[in-house]
Amino acid sequence: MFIASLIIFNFLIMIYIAFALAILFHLRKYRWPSDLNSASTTIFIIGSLLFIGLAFFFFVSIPWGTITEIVPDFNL
Amino acid sequence: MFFELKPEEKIIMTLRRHWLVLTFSLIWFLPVFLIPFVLWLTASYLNIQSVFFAPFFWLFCSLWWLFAWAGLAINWVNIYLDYWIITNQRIISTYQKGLFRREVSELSFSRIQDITVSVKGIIKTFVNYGSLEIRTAGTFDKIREPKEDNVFILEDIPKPYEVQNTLSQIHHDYVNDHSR
Repeated sequence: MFIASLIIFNFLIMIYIAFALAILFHLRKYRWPSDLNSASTTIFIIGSLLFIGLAFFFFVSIPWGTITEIVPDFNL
Repeated sequence: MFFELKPEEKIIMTLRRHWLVLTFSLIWFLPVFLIPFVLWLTASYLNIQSVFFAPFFWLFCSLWWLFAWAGLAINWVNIYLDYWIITNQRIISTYQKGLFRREVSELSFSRIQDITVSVKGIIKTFVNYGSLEIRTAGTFDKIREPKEDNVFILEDIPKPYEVQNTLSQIHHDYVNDHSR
């Protein structure tokens, strides 16, 4: 179950990174000089790293070993 | 810049949507981030938590917040990357309609026939922002949600009356310069 969950988790993170790169591409390409683009880009990157770190923390905090013992049929 | 200035063309001003519009667009997105807390309180009230409920729930919440953050950023991009560039020869309008969907239009001052300011509502009146509609002599190939075929709209710009006066002056100077 851990491996399957890890695959799904990584897949979702990859999807988010694709969205994030698209957003950063737009902010970079269509920026107007002397505007807030650099600040908004920094805030977005920091927030993304924060939420990705949070998701990773909660993922590893799940007791996968205990779940596998209790529900062995789901051990993939 | 994504466009090139013509000979003897200079930028007079650049306009964005009013900062209050950007703020409102972010504020209405905040409840999306609060939904997990509501669900947690509901689950606590209904006493449906188990040993494994909390870790999986907070993992789901963290992923929810992650994609909500992306949604918030996309909303920001859609509004923040709408802007108008006014030169001494034309008006360039850029509308960001979502990721990888952008419309750029330009209107020469020779085609302007009428400029109308529209300020509706208490907040817009006191904060002084609104829309500016420019009616042209011909039709437009790229117009964003037109009510008529020959209307060029600058939406939610700050100080619309001052912008109207500036555009009128630029148009007057343009017509005088090109009628000689």
